Amino acid sequence: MTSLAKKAGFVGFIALFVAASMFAAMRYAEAQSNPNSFNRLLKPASERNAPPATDGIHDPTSDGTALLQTPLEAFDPLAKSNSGNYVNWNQALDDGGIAPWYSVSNPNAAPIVLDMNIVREVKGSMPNVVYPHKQHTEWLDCANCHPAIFIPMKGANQISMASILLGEKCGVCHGKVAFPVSECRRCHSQPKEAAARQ
Amino acid sequence: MRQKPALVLLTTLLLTLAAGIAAGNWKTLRNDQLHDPSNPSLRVLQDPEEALALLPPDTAGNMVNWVTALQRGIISPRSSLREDREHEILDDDVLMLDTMPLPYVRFPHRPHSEWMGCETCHEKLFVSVAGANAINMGKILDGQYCGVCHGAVAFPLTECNRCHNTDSSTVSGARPGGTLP
Amino acid sequence: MSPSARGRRIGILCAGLLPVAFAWGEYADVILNSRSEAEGVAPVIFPHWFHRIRFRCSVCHVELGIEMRVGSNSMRMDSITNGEYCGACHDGQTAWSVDNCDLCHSGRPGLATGIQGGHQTGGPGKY
Repeated sequence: MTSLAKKAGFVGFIALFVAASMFAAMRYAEAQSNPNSFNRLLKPASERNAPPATDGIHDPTSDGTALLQTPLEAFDPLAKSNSGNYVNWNQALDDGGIAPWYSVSNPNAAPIVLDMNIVREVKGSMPNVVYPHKQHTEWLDCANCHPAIFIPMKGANQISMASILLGEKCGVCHGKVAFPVSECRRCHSQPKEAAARQ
Repeated sequence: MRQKPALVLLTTLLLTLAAGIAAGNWKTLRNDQLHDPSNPSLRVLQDPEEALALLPPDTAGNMVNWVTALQRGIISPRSSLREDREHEILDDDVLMLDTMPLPYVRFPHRPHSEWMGCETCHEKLFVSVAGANAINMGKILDGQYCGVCHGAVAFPLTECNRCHNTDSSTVSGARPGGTLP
Repeated sequence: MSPSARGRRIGILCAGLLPVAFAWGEYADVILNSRSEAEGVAPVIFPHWFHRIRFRCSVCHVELGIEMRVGSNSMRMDSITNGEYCGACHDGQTAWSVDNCDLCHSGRPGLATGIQGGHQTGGPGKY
């Protein structure tokens, strides 16, 4: 009798669970199809860093897809950010959370770090841009940017947000692999009054 | 029998016309004379019809009865950026008697406070003292008092009788600016 | 009241009630162009209808302090990216972020700052 009650309880629990997940799925589908849903154009937080099987670009029926690491598993121990991969890659590097190789042949090769800031005065109301060579050279080689993307000479580079958004200049990486262009203040970081005082 | 095609054509025309009126006649962003049709992002933006056709219809403004939409729970706009705050609802009506030949104005606090709480209007646009606000149609049409919203975002000022809604013979002993339950 | 003042008032009343000849935009669309085009971007069009489906009036007009008069708010990209005005939500968390320039800066060239009083009234006033 007790085992029957247990069984009934188990079946009831499963039924409740299935009903609850169906309800949640329906609510989710409704939110997706309702033109007046709250975040019409914004991906919900639950869909960020989707695993390969549901990320929309991998073939979910392939065996290989199941073997691939999920982004969340890799990102879990790393410093967080608000956009892009939702990982603060610079901090992850500084913290020692990751130690990417700098050379294809020598695991012990160290990057050539240049600690030099470039300040670019900008039009409009936005603060000036402070470009730090340090954080960039910790990841990249000089030749990644110079001279093809940026001519290493003061005043020789015309940069605009329009060209960046089209994937030129900073936009070669920012918006594709480095933090996206939505993080205005990470580049536009020096208020104009501060620049005027200097 | 020869008249039949003409009849069909006429019926179709009338039905199309009726559908056009019923649909609210919202313009697409591409054709609204405001948005730049060469902007590739227009396809990302929502056309008014997609959102507004789902809401209770009206005959003016956005062609949407926003008050009914809210009261029936068809939309549930947030009252605050903080999740724990709800609007304070005031459920009384204010009578305005100085309307010359027009019917009195019975201003309902309930739908207004449901949309706006108290602070949107008080004390900046309206003083909360009976008779202390020198409101007239000239000022309203000039975008003051009620005209801050009505004619700009709430139903337009051509809807005279929605505010001038109370026959003077039905109200006795009311004082200007006095409230009714 | 002097006859001329009375005439002017009646004129205002009549002008306000005249239907606008062309229906432009959706009722209550706001056009912001006091700086946009001068600084090299298209005018901003703010759709009230889209936002009032999601927020009640006081969220923007009390909590965020946006004055209910077109042109009386000093909205600049600097303050928006600092989380003021539109930036309170358009930060990539509550709503899409400001790098989608042309979703807001979507107006035709030469639009004047103002609110579309819709297809019912032109409004003689300061809209």
